[in-house]
Amino acid sequence: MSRLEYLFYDQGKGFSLHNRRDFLKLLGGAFGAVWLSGCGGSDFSSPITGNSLILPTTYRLTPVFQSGTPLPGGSSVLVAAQGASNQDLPFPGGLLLNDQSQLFFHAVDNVGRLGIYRVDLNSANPSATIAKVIRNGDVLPDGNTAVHHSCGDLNNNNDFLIAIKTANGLNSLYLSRELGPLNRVLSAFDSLDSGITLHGHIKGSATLHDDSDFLFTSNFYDPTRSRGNSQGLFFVPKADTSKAELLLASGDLLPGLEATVNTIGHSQLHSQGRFVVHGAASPLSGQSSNPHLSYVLRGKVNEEHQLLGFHPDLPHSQMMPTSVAMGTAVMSPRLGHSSHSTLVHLSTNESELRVDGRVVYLAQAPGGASLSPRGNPIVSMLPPVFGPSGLFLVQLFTTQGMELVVSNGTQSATVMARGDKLDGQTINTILCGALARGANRRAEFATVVEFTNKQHAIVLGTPV
Amino acid sequence: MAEISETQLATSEPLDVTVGFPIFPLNNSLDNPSTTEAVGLGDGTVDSHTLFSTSFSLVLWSFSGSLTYIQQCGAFFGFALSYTVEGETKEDGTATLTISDDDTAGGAGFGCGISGEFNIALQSYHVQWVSDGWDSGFQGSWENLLNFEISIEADLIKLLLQFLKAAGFQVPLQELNDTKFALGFATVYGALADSANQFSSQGNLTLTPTVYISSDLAEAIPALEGVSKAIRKIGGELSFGPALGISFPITMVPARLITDNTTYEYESFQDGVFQFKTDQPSSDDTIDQVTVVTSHTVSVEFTLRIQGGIELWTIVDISSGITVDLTESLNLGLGPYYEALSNSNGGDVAETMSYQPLPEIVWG
Repeated sequence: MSRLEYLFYDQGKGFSLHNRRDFLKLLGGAFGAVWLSGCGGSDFSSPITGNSLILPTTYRLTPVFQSGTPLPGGSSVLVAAQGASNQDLPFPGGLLLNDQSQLFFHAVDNVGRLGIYRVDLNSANPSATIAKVIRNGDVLPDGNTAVHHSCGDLNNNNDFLIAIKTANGLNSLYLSRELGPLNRVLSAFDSLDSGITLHGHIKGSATLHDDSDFLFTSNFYDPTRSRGNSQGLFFVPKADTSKAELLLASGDLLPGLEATVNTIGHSQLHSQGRFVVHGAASPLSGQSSNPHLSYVLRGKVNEEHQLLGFHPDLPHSQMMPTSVAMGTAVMSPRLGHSSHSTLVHLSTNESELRVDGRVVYLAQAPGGASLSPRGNPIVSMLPPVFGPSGLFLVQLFTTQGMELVVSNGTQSATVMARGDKLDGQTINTILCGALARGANRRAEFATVVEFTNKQHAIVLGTPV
Repeated sequence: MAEISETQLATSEPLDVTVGFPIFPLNNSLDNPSTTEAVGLGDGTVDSHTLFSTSFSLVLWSFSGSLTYIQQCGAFFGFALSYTVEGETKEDGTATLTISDDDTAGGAGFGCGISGEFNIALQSYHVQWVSDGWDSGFQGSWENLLNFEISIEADLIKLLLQFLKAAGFQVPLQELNDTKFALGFATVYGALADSANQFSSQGNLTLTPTVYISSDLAEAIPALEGVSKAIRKIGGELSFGPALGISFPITMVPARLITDNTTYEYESFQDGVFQFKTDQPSSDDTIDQVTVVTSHTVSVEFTLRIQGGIELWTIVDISSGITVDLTESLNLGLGPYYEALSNSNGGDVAETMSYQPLPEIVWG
């Protein structure tokens, strides 16, 4: 770890002003931990005290490695050229961080190959532990050649699930257990023990949880259903495909709505079979001129699903509780240990983020609605990344740029922002939350940062 | 008592998939059964759909995109039938019949081509600090990340089959080059099945054409290939493709035997023999003409779904699917429907010189 830097949240006076930060940062290197202790800080490996979630107010931000870092096999992470446009990004944005401090990251190498690599952050020299997980062109253990791959998902047992399109054009799901080799678990056109046949397209977005349960979406044929052209969300307990279970399918009635599921978008799985999912719905009566009338659901395996959000053009039969969001949910819902989020567009330029049904931020372009912790009007935002319990990180886009904010739903603090200095470089762009599992139970997080000098880095944030 | 000599009854000889009985005939009853005809249901329907059309700001991106397309789908439903009967009529009004050498082939022909416009634009709002004395401040500008506006034209089923063949799958769909209608730039394919020698063993004849396939063809459509690769560079995924579902078991059973002027109704099937009975037995001891009326019922599913979407990491997913239910659009019922084959007692069916052969069926 080559770099220490501290940002501050003054609990008594609010957030430090931009022109104070450099001064505070200077102090932070020497006094950060002491200062936190004096302000009632605690051990953030367990930031929950009773029911009250304490907000980590100070983060140590460490660039783990930058563009140019050597990769296994003799290549290195692409170095972005100054002034070049429309070129590959060295770190396109995909990051997965688990409780064992394994960081999986997407990177483009100096010959333009996209791959996923992993690094052990427990090591004193993480760069020395970089290992390749999958790269386009790799020959997989089953002999197939990977053409391209999905983002993948990582659990806290170091299992990794990914959809890979192989040279024969088929999508398959591959599972690596405890950092072992990628073994194929399901392919397009496989038959499940339930009599269901996956009849073609498996979506890339599959989600994995700690007990090796996973969710995936595929078109399928079920002889017991009246129509075979369905898209379905399947639950596979303990990665045992013989027990795959259909949770949701196109044509299913949506709770509280006079509409059925049309398509299934992104889903996320958590413990005990809890999941969130969004997608497009079709009204029961008549065709809509809007082909994307979205819905957001949360559910639990073998239990009724609950509506979290829906497009206002979808007919509904009952009064909806105020916790249900009404808008277009093209952005993915997210799920934490005990919380969930819904991000919907209320109009073309207006969106709201709800956590556990309560509006946390209202964004509006171009002027902004809610204010960021630094007092800047929020233009829009990314879906949050959940850490321990109700703690989450959310990237806000403001009239002044962008801020990465940590929040417990009532309090929030800016962890980093455009214009901040880190390791002597000025942050230009932040990308945090491209994948749902970007933070772990110790409230550590990983993010991609681009500096004004076109250097890119993966930065680890550790609460101090 | 009169003998029915070995008589061949057939829609054509050899079987021709475009000459036979329509699976869904009009104005059809037991007293007005279908007779052999060219099967087909006219030209393909042409429909226009918008799969998605949306515009909104995503973080500091401005996204707009739409995909509208025109599809041409069409279908014919029909089957050809051939079998040989032999039996006798009795003075007590009963008749018996054995059926042998039964052979049937049929299914549906269809095609699906799309032509349409696809556009997608993704802009990033770039904010930078401009140092200019008292006028210093942030300035923003939109920069194009993606901007595609393209026309697509594709024969979806052809692409789907090419893809599946490359992946090592054999699908029971065959190109029918000489069918009587064309679908613009789309090839007509048949989902066909054939079966033989079921009448004598089980008393009925069943055809079960079944196909369920889907795939993502975004990179197989040349115009979309570049878009797909560009989207992948920024962590996205474009998907577009058809999901085709065809299943229509057709079950045929004898319904009536007509010898010259006497009509016998079907009673039962036992030990390989079909039993018929009439209230007005004939005293004739010879039969000139033999007609057998069979009935068929259908459990039909014929849907084509066009689905597509754009994903960006696990941040954004915009997807939509439109299902074209040809069964509903053609207002088809499920039967029973009736068809009749006739021949002179003891006769064979003359071989047809020009015919549409049944394509070789390879079941996956």
